[in-house]
Amino acid sequence: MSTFGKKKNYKKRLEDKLNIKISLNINGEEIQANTSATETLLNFLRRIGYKDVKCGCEEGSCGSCLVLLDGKATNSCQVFAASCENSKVITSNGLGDTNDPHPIQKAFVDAGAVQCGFCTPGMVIATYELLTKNMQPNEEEIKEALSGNLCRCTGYVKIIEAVKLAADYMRNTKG
Amino acid sequence: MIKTNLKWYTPENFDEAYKLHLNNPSIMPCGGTTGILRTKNFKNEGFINLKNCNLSYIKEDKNSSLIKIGALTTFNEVIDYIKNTSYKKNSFLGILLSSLSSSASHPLRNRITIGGSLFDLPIWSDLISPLFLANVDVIYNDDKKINLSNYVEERKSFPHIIKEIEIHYDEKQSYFTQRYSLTNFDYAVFRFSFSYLLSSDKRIKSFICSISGTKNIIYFDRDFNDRFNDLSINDEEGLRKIIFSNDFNFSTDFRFDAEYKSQVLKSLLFDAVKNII
Repeated sequence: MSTFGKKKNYKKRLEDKLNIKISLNINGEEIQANTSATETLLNFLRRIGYKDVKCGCEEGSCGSCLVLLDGKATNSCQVFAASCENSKVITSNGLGDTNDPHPIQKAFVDAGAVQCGFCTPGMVIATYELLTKNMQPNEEEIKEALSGNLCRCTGYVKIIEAVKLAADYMRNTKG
Repeated sequence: MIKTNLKWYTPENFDEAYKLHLNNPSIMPCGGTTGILRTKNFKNEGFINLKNCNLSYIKEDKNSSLIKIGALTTFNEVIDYIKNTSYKKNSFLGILLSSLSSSASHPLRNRITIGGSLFDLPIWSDLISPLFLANVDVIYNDDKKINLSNYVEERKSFPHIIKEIEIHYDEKQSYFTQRYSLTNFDYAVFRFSFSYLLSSDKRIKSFICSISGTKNIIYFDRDFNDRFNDLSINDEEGLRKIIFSNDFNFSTDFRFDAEYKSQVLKSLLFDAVKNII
């Protein structure tokens, strides 16, 4: 069987197994889609097009799949999509985009806290949760909030600077 | 892994949920789901989503040093609650805060629940060791009650869903806890916690110690604890003898030999008891 044929069969088999219909709000948009009983929220989101949610370790260690699930930073690889009925999900694209970036996203760019960029969506979500609770975090609190996010490029110094800068931007925006 | 024959149930209240589980124990309750997704063991017939069961709460009665924590309360919710109270670092709430704060990572603590953690009870649990220093009852099904140590031994032998835990702690005691792991965000190799009370003549009046990460998940031996009674806090040799002659019953795993873990524990426990008390 050709590679195309195998892919087609896989897609067909997958579609047969997506037998649970769920409704949830993703980035402010009401979505209805099918999932399987054991599909993770990470795989569900990526399958329906939210590719800004990155797939890293799939065991809750790296934080690249972080989303805000009902306001809380959550490893989407550690949640079943079927359990998220009527939940509110925000991915990093839901905070802002290239044309209208969120102050946190702007701070990450301005501080040069991005290298390969794979961990950045997760970092942005972790920072958002921190800054919505605490607009003036100290370095310890920033490290604690980012404790579930791994970055193999930057060494964290610029990321921590970016979070401080984001806090400044958000305070100024609010003021 | 995708399995089609699994079903999700979302009961309207806790009564419906535990009856569903009692009727078919293969339909498993789901808390934060971190434990289930870690093992990816989907041999069960279905999942019970407990989100409508109102099990996320903390109720404290300061007059009787009693705290009730709902099974679906997450580690971060407990941490935030304790941070907003006037706790002392060496109080029971102080060490519970310290234990839970070092567990996993911030986003995982948004998911890990008290009930799920007790039900799953992994060997690296940061929750269980401090709980053994208090008088803890696990409330399950139709308000049935079981003591924590009995629960740990018997939890796999009867179908149940945890509703809440009741913690009765002693405010007169001083508490301490310490974790040993390779890195901060790694699983705990072991955690030891102890509480103590001193008499006016600087002797140990009461001492309770529990160690998680051992062969049976938790080491809690009343005979070992009793050996500390009436020991002078200046009797370093006596203390060394009690700790270093004891067998804490570790098992060898892919990272450490049992003997190595035992020696590290003895050294850390000895230093902690000597310096703290």
